This record gives sequence, C-alpha cells and structure tokens, in this order.
Amino acid sequence: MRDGPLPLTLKIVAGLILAFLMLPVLVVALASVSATAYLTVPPQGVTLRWFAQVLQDPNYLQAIGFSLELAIASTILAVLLAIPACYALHHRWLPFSEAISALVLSPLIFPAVVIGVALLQYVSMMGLRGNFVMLVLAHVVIVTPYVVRTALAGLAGFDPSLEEAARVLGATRLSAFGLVVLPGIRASLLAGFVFALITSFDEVPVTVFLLPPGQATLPVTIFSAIDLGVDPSIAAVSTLLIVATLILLVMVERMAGVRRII
Amino acid sequence: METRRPLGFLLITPLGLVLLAVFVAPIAMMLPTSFRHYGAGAAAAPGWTLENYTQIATDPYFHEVLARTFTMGALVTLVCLVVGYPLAYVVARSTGAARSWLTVLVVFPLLLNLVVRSFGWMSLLANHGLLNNLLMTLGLIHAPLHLMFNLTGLIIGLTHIYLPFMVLVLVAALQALPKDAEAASATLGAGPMKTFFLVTLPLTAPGMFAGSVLVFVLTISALVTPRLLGGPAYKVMATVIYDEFLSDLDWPSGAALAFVLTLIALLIVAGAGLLTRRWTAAQ
Amino acid sequence: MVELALRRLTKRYHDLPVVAGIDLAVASGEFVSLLGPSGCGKTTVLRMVAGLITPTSGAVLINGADVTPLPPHRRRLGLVFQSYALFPHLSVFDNVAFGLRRQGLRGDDLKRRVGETLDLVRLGHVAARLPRQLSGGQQQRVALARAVAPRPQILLLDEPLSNLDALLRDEMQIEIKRLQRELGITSLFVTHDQSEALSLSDRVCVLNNGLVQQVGAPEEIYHSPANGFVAGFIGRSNRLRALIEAVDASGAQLRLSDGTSLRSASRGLAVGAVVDVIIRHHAIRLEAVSAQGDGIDGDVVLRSFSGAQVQRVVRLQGGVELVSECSTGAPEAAFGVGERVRILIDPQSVFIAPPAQAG
Repeated sequence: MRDGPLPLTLKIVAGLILAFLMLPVLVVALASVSATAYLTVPPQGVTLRWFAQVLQDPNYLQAIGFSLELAIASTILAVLLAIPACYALHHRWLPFSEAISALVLSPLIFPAVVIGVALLQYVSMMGLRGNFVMLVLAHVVIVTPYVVRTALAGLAGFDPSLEEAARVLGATRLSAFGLVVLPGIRASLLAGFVFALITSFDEVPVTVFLLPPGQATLPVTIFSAIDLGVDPSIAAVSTLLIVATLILLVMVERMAGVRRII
Repeated sequence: METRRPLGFLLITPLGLVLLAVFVAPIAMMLPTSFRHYGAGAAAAPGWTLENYTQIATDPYFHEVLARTFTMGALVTLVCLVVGYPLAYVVARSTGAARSWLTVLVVFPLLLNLVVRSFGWMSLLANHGLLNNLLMTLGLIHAPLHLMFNLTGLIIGLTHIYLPFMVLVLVAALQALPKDAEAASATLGAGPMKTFFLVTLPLTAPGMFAGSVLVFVLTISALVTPRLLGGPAYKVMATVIYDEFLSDLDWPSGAALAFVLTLIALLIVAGAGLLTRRWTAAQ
Repeated sequence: MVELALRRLTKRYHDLPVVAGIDLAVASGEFVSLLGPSGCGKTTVLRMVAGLITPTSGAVLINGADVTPLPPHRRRLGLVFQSYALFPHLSVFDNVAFGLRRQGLRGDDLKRRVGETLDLVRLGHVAARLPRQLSGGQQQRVALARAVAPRPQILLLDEPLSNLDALLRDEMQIEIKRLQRELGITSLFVTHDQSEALSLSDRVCVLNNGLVQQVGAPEEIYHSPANGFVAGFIGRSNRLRALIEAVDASGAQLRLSDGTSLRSASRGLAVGAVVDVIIRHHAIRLEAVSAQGDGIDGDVVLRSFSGAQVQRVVRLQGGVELVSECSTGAPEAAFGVGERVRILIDPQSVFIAPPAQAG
C-alpha cells in the first residue's frame, strides 16, 4: 500500500459508512432509555424502567441462563473435539486430509436454515424432539468450524521444532502437546473459543427448530417478542447484549488481537 | 511427513462421529423426504414423486420467491462492494492504533446478535420508526414512507449484516497488494485516480470476487433478517423453508426447496473456487 | 561412556533416496561432524538418530543396543536446533529444567542441577528471564544448556551456529568445543560450513546425495580427499573441464579447453573421457619464468590481499584463468598484476570429478 495522507473526502465517506454500521446499535441503546414505546424526535424523557422490567422478567432471565448453558456446553465440547482433530489434520496423518478439512468447515457455507430443518426431521424420526443434548450437538456442528479455523491457523504458525525439542528432552507426544504446543497456540484457541461462544449464543436459524418445549434462548425469545410487536423491553435486553458483546470484543482485542478470529 | 494413520484416525474419530450423526446423516435423511407426497401433519404420504421439485420449476409462486431471493442477493452484494471498498481502503491504509480501532469498529457489528441488529433497523425503518418520525416532524413528508416489509428494508438490513465480511476480505486483498505497484504507477506519471483505476482496482479484483461470492451465498441463505424486516408477506427461499416446516407442515416441499437452496450455494462456492484456481494458474 | 553406530541407515521419500544407506561409527566421547551441501541428507540422518524420523531401513545403535523402534523421548539424547527452539512461554530456568523434570527430578536437586548447567554456559544470572529477553548468542547457550542438562547419552547439534553472526559464531564454536570436552559427551554435529566442521571435529564425515563420501580426521579430509567431490567441497578450488588424453602407470595426461596440458596422479581413468579437474587455490605455485625446462606460463591479471593470504588470478596463454593462493610471507607473494609467471602444479593435487552440470 501507498503511504501518505488519505484524501479528506475518502475519510468522510469511510466515517459515514462506519456511522451506518453503528446506527442500529445507537438506536437500540437510545430506545432502551427512552420513555416512549417508539423513539421520537425529540426524545421524550429518559428512564431505566425497561431495564428493571427485563431484569424482573422470568422469561428473559430463564432465556439468558439457558443461552449461557447451551453456549458454554457446546463451545467446550467443540474445543475438546476440534483440538485432537486439528492436530491430526495439521500433521496430515490421514488420507484425504483436504477433503476431511472441507467437511469439517462445510457448516460455514451450508444454509443454516437447511441444517435446522434437516435436524428437525431427524430428531422427530428418532423421537428426540426437544432433547437438550441434540441441541448442544447441533451447536457443536455449527461452532466447530470457527474453532477448527483458528486452531489450524495457530498450529500452522507454531514452530514444529519446539515440539520436537520437548520430545527429545523426554516428553511423550501427549505431554509435549500439553506442555509446549498448547501454550504455544493459546491465543488462537482463546480467539476461537470466544468466537464460538458468541456464535452459539446468537444462533437462531438452527436453534429455533430444536428448542425443548417451554424453553428458549435469548435471541429466540427476542425474535418471538418482536413477532408479537415492538416493546421497549426488547430494546433494553438488546442493549444488555450489546454491552456484553462489546466487553468480550475488547477482551479478545487485548488478549489475542481481533484479526485472529476472522 | 510421517504417516501415522492409526493415531490420526483415533484423533479425528470423536469429531467425525458427531459430524456424521448430527450433520451428514440428518441432511442425507432429508433427501428421501423431498421425493414424498404431502401428507397431513408433517407425516409424508406413501409413494414417491418428483412433484416437489417440478413445482419449484413451474409454479409462479416459487418463481417469484426465487427471483426475489436472487435479486436480493445480487443487490446486497453490489451495495456491499460499492460501500465496502472505500472503508476497506481506509482500514488497509491506516496503521497502529487507528488500524486497531477501525478493525474493532468493523468487527463489532459482525459479532453483535442478528436479532438485535434487525431490531435496530426495525426501530429506525418502521412506520412509527425514528426515520419516519423525524421526517414527519420536519414536515418533509405527511404520510410515513414504507421502508420495511419490502425489498428496501431487506437490502438495508442485510447490507448492514454482511458489509463487515466484505470489508475484511477486501482489507486482506488490499494488504496483499505488491508494496511498490502503486508507487511505481505514480512515478510513471499516473495521478491518484488513474493509479487507483489502472493498478489498485484490477489487482484487488480476486478479493472483490471472493468477497462477493461470500456475501451472495450468505445473503440468499439468511433467515432471521428477511423474516423480521421482510415480514410475513415478503418471502424469500429461507423464510419459505422455515414456514413449510414450522407452520404449513409440508415437509416434502420444504425439503425439496432446502436442497435447491443448498445446491445453489454449494455450486456457487465450488464454481468460484474453480474459477479462482484457473485465475491464479493463468497468471 | 557411549558410542553411536549407524547401520545401512536409509530414508526414502516416494522411492527417492534422501539417505542411501549410511554406515558410521562414533566412538565414545568423540565429536563427529556430518558435512555436506544442503540436500545431502545430513539433517535427515540426525533426525533419524533423534527418532524424529523413522528410517526406511537400517538401524541406529546406541551402546550396541538397537534404538530404531524407540520414540524420541526414550532415547535419552540432547538436541540443539538451528532455530534454538527455546520454549517461549518458559523462563530460562524452566527451559533448562524441562528435561530434568521429565526424569522425575524435583525440588533442591532440580535447582542444583539447573544452576550447575547454567553456570557451565555462564548464564546463571539470567535464569529468571524469558528467552525473548536474551541475545541470540545467549539464547543459543541456553539451548545448549537445556540439551546437556539431563546428561544425554549423545549430543546432537543441527547447524547450531548458522543463525549467529560471524563474531558470535567463533565464540560459540569455542563454547561448544569446551563444553563437549568438559562433559566428554559423544557428539554428532551437522553443518554445511567446512570451517566449522574442520575446526570442531575429531572426525568429519562428508556426505553427498545421501551417501558417505569420506570419513576421516580433519587434516586427512583436507589434505587427501578421497574423491573429486570432497576435493571440490573442502577448501577453495579451481574447477575446469578437461579431456583425458592418455593414461599411464603414474596417472593421466589431461588437456584443458584451451589446449593446456596437465598431469594428474589419479588412477582408473578412461582415455577420451570428459571430466572436471579440481585444483585447490593453494596447490598452484608461482615462480619466475626461466628458459630452462618447460611449464605452463601465464600472466597475473588480478591480485587481492586478504590479510594472511594473497590471491592471484593467472590467465594462461590459452586463455583459461586459474586462481592461486599463498601466504603473505611466501617469496611468490610478490608477483603483481601484469607480470608473467610460471605455474607449478603437483599432479598429486590435481583431482578428477565427474563433469558438473552446465559447468
């Protein structure tokens, strides 16, 4: 790339595009403290009562708990399954390594709604409708590609002679992995973990088909609430999600660098 | 490289089993469903038929849905490309802390919940939304503009969602530019505009292509935003599949449409991969 | 003490032999170098000894026991890498303690052993630091300490000096040699740098195309190369295309491309064959042209002085140019550019090799 100052017009254009990206976020945040059900210009009064309403609503509280449970369980499981698989794929110990990698990553390009309906039919046929384990496994399928991508990138950037040094010094393959390789790809794994966690927490198009009766994740709860009509408590709970996402993003940027997760 | 197949198989087996049981098998088992007759209450009637596929090809309702889906995909891709390029250029040219902040600002909406973002757009674009409210207060309009539950709303919402993907792909492409190509052009007497159109733009064409393929495939597969911003009437393939499975309970027809959508997405990705390989091989 | 033996050690990749059956015995406490150009298979040999690569056939014996099927962690070896390969997340202390901990050492014993080893490389004062806080030379000394701390049976060194700059390299050479002597540890050293190999080793094993070319003491390798490859690879040489004109009991008569005639003491050559002639720079003596006798005459076209040595480029009357080298103190060092000189070459120093590609 060329050095030197950017033209002012280009900077203004970029600023406007960034403003476009931030616009709905700001609107949601404003709506969450606005006294009226719909945002008006000028705003008529500031209130925190929508937040109070959300934090007293058992529906939302249950949904937050359920989403966290689901996201944490599926992300941990995905990491545990992905790490050994990535180690084998990285070392090309398997025939057709390329094809296997493609299969593992394919949920990324598969239309999520298709995975959702296929799983709906599958669990119906097996008599497992509303089974929490199936929901967790479905999320594992969806978030594993993110973990695999960052883990493979981490392994590719890892100096193989470090592992060899450990093994020559008397470490078995397993302890060399735990003592040297794992610490070496820690930042990549952390980035993959966070991205998988966020993806699972946010997932709607597959989750909506597999929910146990009477339970819902937070995004699905918001989704249904919107279907019933716009209500300011939706803005409040959305704002809570925005803040949580922002905190996670800043954490990742501090610890691993945001570029790593893309 | 040493080959250690037994150990390799041992390490991949757990993940492989989960993928087979919860990804490959369900999709494979949906294939026969798509050749079944419609039966009441999600259960398929006996016998086999091609009707579910032929109706997609012949029924004007499906034609409209397909046309709508691809129009939406093409328009969102085009807007993302045009809007994303200047932003990507500024990000790629920045350094240090500015670079870090710009990246965070681009990535943040990407990580933010889809439902929340769509809700933000609804608050803005609805008949009683902020935008109409503002325009009416200013006296510019007397009746609210219809910005939602139609193509306009969908394009705005989906562009917002997939723009970060396009920007990140373009930033990578701009960074991969040979360092001196632009400088060389400048020293050869080309002005900044000429340099951009003769050097920078053609050299980032593969990145623009890759970003466009990504955004197009994601857009035609999207469910949440079309459902919220498109509403119950303005339907695309993903929302039709959703309704066939959850409200109409016509699984065979929904399954057929799901396979058509999947096939289109996979063919585009595979075709783009092939083209890119030819492209790089030719250079 | 420990000895190492390689028996017909072979490694093929897709039927391509990288190491084509190597036999080598390293005596207890001996320092042996594997020397050769890149791609000669020397690193592959070292990695097979370490157990990081499984040989296609052949065996690695340590103290007479076949260790070929053993994984690396059960061979009790020390390995120093070209890239240092220090664990970046561990302190210098923990790096050196790594192998000792694998042997079950804990507490005060561990501290004492790590301390002793770090003192051996004079780095006791940096034990708490992380590797990235050290200089390149210090890092390589930590790598050395880490490799010898668990008292390995054999020390393997894979081009440990090639990432260091010239001054540090000389310093590290002495460090390695001193440590090896002090510990009396059997060592195998891989390098492409002949001066490293010659100055450090008890014996040098020259490899090319996966085959042993010659094994011998440094002096032997230098002064009596077994074949044209060794002659060309060790020392600095002129390499010229030639035709074998005649063969007799004492050697062969050669003709260079410009018609100049030359004698070689090499045997077993075929008349009419085209070969490469290899003559070391210092094997070419210069003297004043005299009427008596005949020899090869030429003109000095270039003279360069490099401290202890003087080099001259001499253009023969036929047009071929040869490089001659002598020490600065020698009488012939006086010949300068433009002077006509007579060239003397001992036939014993004229080596024959198969013609190199596109030479």
